[in-house]
Amino acid sequence: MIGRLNPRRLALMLAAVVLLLGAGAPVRADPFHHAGPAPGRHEPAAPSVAAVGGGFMAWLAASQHGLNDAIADAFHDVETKNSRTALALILGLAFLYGMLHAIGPGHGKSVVASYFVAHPARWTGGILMGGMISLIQGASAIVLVGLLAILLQAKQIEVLGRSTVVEFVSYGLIVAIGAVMFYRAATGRLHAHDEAGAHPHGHHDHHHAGRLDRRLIVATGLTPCASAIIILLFALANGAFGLGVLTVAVLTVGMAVTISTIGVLVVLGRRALLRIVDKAGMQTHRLERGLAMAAAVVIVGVSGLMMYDAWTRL
Amino acid sequence: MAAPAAAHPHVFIDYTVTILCGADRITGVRIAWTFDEMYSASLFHDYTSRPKGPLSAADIAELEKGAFQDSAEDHYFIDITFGAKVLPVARATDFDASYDGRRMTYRFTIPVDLAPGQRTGILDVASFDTEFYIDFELAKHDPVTIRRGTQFKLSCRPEPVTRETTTFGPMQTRIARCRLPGAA
Repeated sequence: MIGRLNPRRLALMLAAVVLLLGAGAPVRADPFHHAGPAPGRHEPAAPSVAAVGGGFMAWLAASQHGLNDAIADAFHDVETKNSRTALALILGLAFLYGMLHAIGPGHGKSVVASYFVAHPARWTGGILMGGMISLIQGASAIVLVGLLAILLQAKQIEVLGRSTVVEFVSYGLIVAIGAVMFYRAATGRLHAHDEAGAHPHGHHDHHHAGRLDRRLIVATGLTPCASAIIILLFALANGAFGLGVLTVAVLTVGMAVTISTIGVLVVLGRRALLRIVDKAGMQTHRLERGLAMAAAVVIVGVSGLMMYDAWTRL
Repeated sequence: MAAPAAAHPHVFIDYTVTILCGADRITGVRIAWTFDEMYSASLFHDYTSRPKGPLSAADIAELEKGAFQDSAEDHYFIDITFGAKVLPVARATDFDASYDGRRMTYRFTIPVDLAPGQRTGILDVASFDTEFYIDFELAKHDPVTIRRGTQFKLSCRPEPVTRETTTFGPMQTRIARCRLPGAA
């Protein structure tokens, strides 16, 4: 919606990120080694009425714990016994881990959902966007670990801290893109990405289901997934970086499944909603505009919070 | 402010609680954290000098300085309550670390000075990260033990509770709960 991504600009953007990383600004390395107070942490969380959600989240965390352990065990088996079964096990577990892990906060789910609330798209667009964001997230982790841990020989735990810088930049870019989305929606230029320029009344979604916003995809994907970084660092410590890269690739596919599912559901949901409104004989373009504005507000709001949060951890 | 971006668990710790008792009072809680294998590998890689374990005294000092002490700002992720009262988390003492080739374990003591009151009291000890960057789980084997305590009988067991996290919402977790007898 805000034009095609110029490869030169993309290169500039990535270069800026690398520069920021290399600048060596002091970063909070991890929860056991950092600067700055953590306000509000002291009050022990008050036990509340047992909630169903609490049980699900505890299950989700426990499953990830189990998968994390199992992947580490299988790594040792590949190393010591050169076991092919263990290799297959790692890849299967990494896929599951990716799927479960992406259910938690982050990973661009709110960006994907908001984007498809705002824009008409085909269901394949949902898959494409989820897939590309996850792919870039995995690649970003590999570049980060390769650059810092291998080339610059940084401490492993520092590498995790440095990823906060990339997080900050990534969310900043998303906020900027969201602001442009809002401006476009508010001024009625909803589908500026549609190069035909023709804008019918919105009840034939697929007619102007244009190309996806590649800048938004890159900006969202830029944030490396900390779990991917941890797996790569673990692989590196065990002298098996290649195996780590392979594991992260599969982890990425698992994450893509979760994020794409959300994208597809929103694409279909938006279409169904507009169809109902259209059948009721009401004008859909006002609703579309409202959706686009609300979605842009969510993108700016959520990413703004994430950006602020990353700032507090810098 | 919450940490939404970092909020899903990336570090997993199994912990145990030992209640340290003097003749007529509780003098401290000894905590043991066993890190998941991946984070253990990073700690071992970053803070120790030998290619394989065991840890030297210098390694342990390095770990304490580089990868433990700063969590004092977060009260070592320890919450201690007696009845309705939140006890202050004092500076940790007697830090020790060990590495079994796969997992790193930290042990440390939070000094406490608590005498049984007139009435029965409930003492809760938990290791918990409200931001949920770290997922603390009470160990499956021997999660809560009592060391000495001759003058008064203490009974401890794991207790399932629900706690608020900053971004995950309510989360079920187990904590160590001890029942202190009232003064006779």
